[in-house]
Amino acid sequence: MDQAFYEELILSVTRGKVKDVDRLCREALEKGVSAFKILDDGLLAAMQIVAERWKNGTVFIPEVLIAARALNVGLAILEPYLVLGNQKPKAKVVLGTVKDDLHDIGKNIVGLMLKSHGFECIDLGVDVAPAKFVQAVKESGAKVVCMSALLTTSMIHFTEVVQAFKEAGLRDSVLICVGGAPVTATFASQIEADIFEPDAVTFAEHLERRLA
Amino acid sequence: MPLDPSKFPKAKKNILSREEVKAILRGEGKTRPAQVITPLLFVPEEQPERQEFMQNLIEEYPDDAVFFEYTRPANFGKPGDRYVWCDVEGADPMLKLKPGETIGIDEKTALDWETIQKITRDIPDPFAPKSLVQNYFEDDGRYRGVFWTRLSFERLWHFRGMSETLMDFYLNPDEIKDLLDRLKHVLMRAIDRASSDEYKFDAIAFTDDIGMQDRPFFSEDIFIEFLKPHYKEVIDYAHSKGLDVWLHTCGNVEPFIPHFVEMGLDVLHPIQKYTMDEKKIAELYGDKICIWAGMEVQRILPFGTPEDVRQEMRFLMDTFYHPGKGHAVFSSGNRLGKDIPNENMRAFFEEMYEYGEKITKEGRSGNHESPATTKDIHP
Ligand code: B12
Repeated sequence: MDQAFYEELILSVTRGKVKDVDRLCREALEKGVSAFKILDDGLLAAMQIVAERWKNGTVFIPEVLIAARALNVGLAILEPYLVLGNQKPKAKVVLGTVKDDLHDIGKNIVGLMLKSHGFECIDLGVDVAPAKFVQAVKESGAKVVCMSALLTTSMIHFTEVVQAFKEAGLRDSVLICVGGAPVTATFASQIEADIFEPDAVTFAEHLERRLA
Repeated sequence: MPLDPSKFPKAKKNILSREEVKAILRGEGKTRPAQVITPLLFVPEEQPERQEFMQNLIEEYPDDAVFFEYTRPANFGKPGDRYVWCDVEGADPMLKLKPGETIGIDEKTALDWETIQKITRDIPDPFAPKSLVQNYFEDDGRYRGVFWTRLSFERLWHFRGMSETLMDFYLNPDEIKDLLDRLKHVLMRAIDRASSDEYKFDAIAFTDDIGMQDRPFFSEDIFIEFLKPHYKEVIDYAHSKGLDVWLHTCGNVEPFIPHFVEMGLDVLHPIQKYTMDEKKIAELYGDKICIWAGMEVQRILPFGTPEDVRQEMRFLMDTFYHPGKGHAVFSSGNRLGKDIPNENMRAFFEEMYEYGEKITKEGRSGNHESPATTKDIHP
């Protein structure tokens, strides 16, 4: 497929045009283009653009969400063809909002960004007790744990989760990442978290570098 | 109704009258700054000691303007109910969900547009409940109003869920506009009742969180297309009925402030610290709109020392209050959480009064910096 094709696909994703994404992905597959190429040069390239714009503050949540929705439509079409050859799957990530906290929009955006960087996300939802994080890591073998907290009264639960991993003897085998509006770098280091970033895009890039 | 000091037996301060507060809002205030905290005072029932502490504090330092929280319509009711947000039979998504399966306000509980279109058009009717507001008491000479939480954007996502609403701006714009039109009529009826002889309120205050920590929820274009015309009609209508309009919105709303000014919003809360530069906002808009400056609740009030709280109060007043003119009233940035120590709470109330008196007597503000400029305040 030529440059114009990828430009159109990228624009369809960034504009959230689900039908166009659907059509373009099918067309390309029919013409024998590798699903990986459509994914990398089309869908993920589009998400990279959205991520870049988010970082620059030129797009807002609606634009991220409609692009993610279009990305998911494309992914569903490509999925059967994305058989892993010599490509290594990226790390599994366990993700959740801590106990007593119901805010999930930021966490969901983190999940989307991680997904668009190729990570596999196990989303535990909101109001997640420390033991549940540990259990999810045990079951999935995930190497990364992401916690979100939006309340000053709930971010203290980060400490309990860190403690629960210590008690389970797993603290050194997972990267603990924290974030959410009230969280600061100082607080994150105080509770011995491994990674803190103030926004989802910077975080996904950071994690990718860290695991490279 | 003149102010009657005997109504405030424990007060450690003189209380401002309705006219004095009005003068502050218009930029003609000759008094000390007004304290307007109670709409943000929220102490859960399970904390009786805290309740008592706050009760005492507010009796020592009564607010200079009072807001009564509106009587909330139920989210769901049955056909024929007049004071519910949705009267469609069986529409409540919770009926189909198991307990714990949802947090109650997102995708799983979003109503589809078909259901929304079936809702009786003129409900909830603000004239339907016995009282428009909760915990009402008679006029005591203070400026007073109704505090109507969830203006428009918040109302949209209570119907549709947050993520759906944000996508609806692109995917279902006409439906969003129609729903806003319906909401506008509800708000106008609320304004009718608030301004009627039954209450004769001075103001209607709304909350509508359209800011996040690092940016607004949506672009200026979306604001201009969907919310600005809606807000403007509501504000104009309130003004035509003699009510001032106060608006609370969390987070960074910097791109929207010039629009608020343009549409004649009277009071804006809280210029959330760490999301915008207070000095810049004060410089650009401080003489065009009355700022309801809010003491920060994510770091300074819960985790600062009492002296940090006092210093921040001085900084806020120096930044926003113009002795001899006013144009600012003071409060907390949001509901006062249980993680705020009592000493900090007391320092907050005391300093607001004491420093306000000082700059008024001296006829000029000081030049205090925020403690946050030299110190990383965190848990
Ligand atoms: C929407 C909202 C709600 C909605 C949530 C709906 C939902 N489905 O999530 C509802 C109405 C349920 C709600 C309820 C409450 N809320 Co609320 N809410 C907000 C609001 C307006 C926006 C939050 C949001 O979604 N932001 C958008 C997302 C995208 O941003 P974000 O979460 O910060 O995420 C970004 C980054 O932080 C980062 N990130 C997030 N998580 C993670 C994780 C990792 C690992 C990393 C690296 C990064 C990262 O990436 C994201 C994208 O860049 C904020 C205001 C504000 N200024 O933040 C208040 C706010 C968070 N709420 C607040 C309060 C007080 C409450 C209530 C207690 C109110 C009440 N009295 O009932 C309840 C508590 C309910 C509970 N138990 O959790 C306060 C908290 C104050 C404090 N002391 O901490 C805030 C700050 C408002 C304020 N200014 O006071 N709220």
